[in-house]
Formats: sequence, C-alpha cells, structure tokens
Amino acid sequence: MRKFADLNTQVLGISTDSLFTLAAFAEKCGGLGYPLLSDFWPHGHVSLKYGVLREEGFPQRSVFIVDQQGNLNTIKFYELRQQPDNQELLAMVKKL
Amino acid sequence: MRMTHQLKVGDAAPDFTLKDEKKNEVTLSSFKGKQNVLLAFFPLAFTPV
Repeated sequence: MRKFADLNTQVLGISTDSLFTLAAFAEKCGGLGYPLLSDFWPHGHVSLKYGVLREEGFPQRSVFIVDQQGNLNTIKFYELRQQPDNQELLAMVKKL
Repeated sequence: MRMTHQLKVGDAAPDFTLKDEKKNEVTLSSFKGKQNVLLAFFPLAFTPV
C-alpha cells in the first residue's frame, strides 16, 4: 500500500459488511494499511450509486480510480473470486 | 446482477461519506485537489468470494 501512497493515492476498501465485521476482518488480516468503509446502512447505497450492488446484497468486486479532479479515470470489474492485480493497478495510477 | 446505472470513465465520481472500521467518517470529495483515490469494492469479509 505504500506504493500507492508514494503515487499520492489513497486506497479505500468498501463492502456492505458492518463496521464490526470490518474491524474484525482488518484485525485478522493483521492491519491492511488502508481504511475499510462500511456501506452497511442504508444498505449498499454507495454500491448502488456506483452501479455495483448485486441482488444478493453485496457489491461486485470492482475498482474505481478517482483522479484529483474527482472524476473517474478507470473502472474495472472482476470475477467474485478474482483478486485485483496490484501491479496492474499501480501502473494505472502511475498514468494519472 | 443488478446494475441500475452504469458509470463511465470521465464521469464525476459520486460523492459519499461512510464510516471506516475505526469509526472515522471518510468523505470522497475531501480528497479532491489533494490525492487520487482508488476505491476497491469487495463482496464479503471472511469469505472466499
């Protein structure tokens, strides 16, 4: 995550889990180095705004890169079990 | 899958304020003019999905 910080980029994780679940998850992972945001209530409203809320009530795995003007520079969708490739994301951020 | 509206590259990112796991409020627009933001939506904590 330091590499993103070096590129002046803040990483934010978002799920529809509760704060308590996210806190336990972050602890289990030994600290993630970036905040996990809870889109729990109103349930999934931010995921819905971004068009990624699935009918099961949780978001599609996806990445949105927002530039300093507040505009979307990159939108990428992933399969549920597919982890985003950090090297690929770093390369995208570098182009900003 | 429900995709109500599809955002496009170049669109303004919809603003939001949410709490993080440490109960801090985080507002997307607070990064404007300062930092890029990488928003990573993920399905469910503690699961393989």
